[in-house]
Amino acid sequence: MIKHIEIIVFAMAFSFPLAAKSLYVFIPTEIRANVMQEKMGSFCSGIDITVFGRAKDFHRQVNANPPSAILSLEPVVKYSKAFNTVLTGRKNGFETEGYVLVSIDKQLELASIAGKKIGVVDLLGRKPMAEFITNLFKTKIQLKRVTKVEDLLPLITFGSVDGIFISESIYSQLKLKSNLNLVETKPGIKLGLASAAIDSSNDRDVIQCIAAFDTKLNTILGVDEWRLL
Amino acid sequence: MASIINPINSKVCKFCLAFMLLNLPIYAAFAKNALVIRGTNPSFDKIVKSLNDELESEVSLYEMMVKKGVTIKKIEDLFTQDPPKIVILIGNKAVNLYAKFQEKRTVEKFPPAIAIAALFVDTFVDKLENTTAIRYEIPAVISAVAMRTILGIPVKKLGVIHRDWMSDIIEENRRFCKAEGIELIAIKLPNKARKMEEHVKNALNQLNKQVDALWILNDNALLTSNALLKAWLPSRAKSKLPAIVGIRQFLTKIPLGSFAIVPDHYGLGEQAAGIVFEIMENNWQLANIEIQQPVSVNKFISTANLDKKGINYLPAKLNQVDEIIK
Repeated sequence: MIKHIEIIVFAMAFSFPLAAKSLYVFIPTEIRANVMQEKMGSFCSGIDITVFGRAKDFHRQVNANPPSAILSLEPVVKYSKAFNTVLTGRKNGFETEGYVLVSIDKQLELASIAGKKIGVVDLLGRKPMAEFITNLFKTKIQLKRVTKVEDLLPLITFGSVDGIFISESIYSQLKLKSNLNLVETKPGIKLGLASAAIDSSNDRDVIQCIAAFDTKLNTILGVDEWRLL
Repeated sequence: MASIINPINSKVCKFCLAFMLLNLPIYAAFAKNALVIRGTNPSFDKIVKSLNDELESEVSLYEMMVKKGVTIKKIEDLFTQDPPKIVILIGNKAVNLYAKFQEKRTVEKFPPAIAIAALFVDTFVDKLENTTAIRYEIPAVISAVAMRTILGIPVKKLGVIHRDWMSDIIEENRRFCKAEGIELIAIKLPNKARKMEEHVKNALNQLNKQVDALWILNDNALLTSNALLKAWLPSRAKSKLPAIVGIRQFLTKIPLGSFAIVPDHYGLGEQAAGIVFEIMENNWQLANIEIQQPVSVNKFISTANLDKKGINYLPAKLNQVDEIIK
């Protein structure tokens, strides 16, 4: 019995420091969360990685069980105030990406965007997301939030929205997937790519593992390199 | 000892009460009630969870399960005890029970209602007052685009067998498919036939020569055991065409297809919550009764079935599906 307890204590002593480091990831892509989690796990031994498919689950867990670090799109990281950004993703040398309004057949007019129904992938939850988009467009827009990137295409196909607001890279993917006559309107909005932030413990192990992601994984995350701040 | 109410103190108290109410979170001061009437299907748990997740702190839900023996009296009681601002109906049994409740007209004005996860809801929802719905059936275009993405080949002609009463639904699907460059080739069968399996067999023979892929509808009358044994299974075994089905079991136990595109119940709940918020922001008035299409699906793929038929697919795209059956 005593031997049994000794083994458990011994195991706990060695496993605790490893399990204490955790990374929460929320980056909406078409890739399933479990697949992304598995891929990331291979670069981050000793770090407990959880990839979330829904903004709500991510924010709830960040509040309930704060991780050592978070990896998400820049607006999400900024919204999670208890973390300091230490790593930013770059693509073609830029840390931001243009966003477009996509509609079918007819371009949306920015002058009359107020009150239009626009589909977005939810990043922050109902009210914060509405506030975020209102600030971007400087006018109130009726939002239809979806959880999965792939749900935007049905939304626009069935005319449930007047348009969708997406990054240029997602727009490129959408054009490859769909034969609809998609047209874009450029509102001149750029948002930050994926970035990572750590908690006050300032433990940088998690950051090192993110910086070691390979090209394939980085492409999924929408970046081609990482810049340490 | 009798208490003496000081008028000044009383005013202070009223002020304090008003101040407290104004400073309370809005949900606590003015709780909104949504009555969820639902069937017992375990899949509906995900819808309710999703509704709770989305509506939490803004709209409070209370649930009524439509079990055996439950009558409209239960709904009447709930309406009397706690009149709901909105009713959410999950499943055909719930919709039917609520229809009976409306028929009896014990309430002067019915609150807005949303019907979800009810099969062919569009054929009867207009009989309900102040009610909108989200269809349960997945439109062909969602499935076909998903399949096209994974196969990496153009799916230009999609074949479907349907009964006469579904003609309107098929027409609507034809329109959506056309916008995506997919021609929906439909073969209409009678609503009732003595030997439905013969009709199905002939229709499959025709379609196999004309299309790039099949879309198999969840219609019990077309998928009887006789029809499965004498028409569907022999035809599918011989055919090299990929097929989309609406139930996961049709990839495994009864191998009719290679892609199962099924409703995402959590997603359905989120979509319904979106309608609840729209109604709430419109002062609890239902402005738009137009039935919505479901936007979120779960995708299952049987690479085993694809391999068996020698159908190529893009392995890199498999990470976009919920489950791969190897």
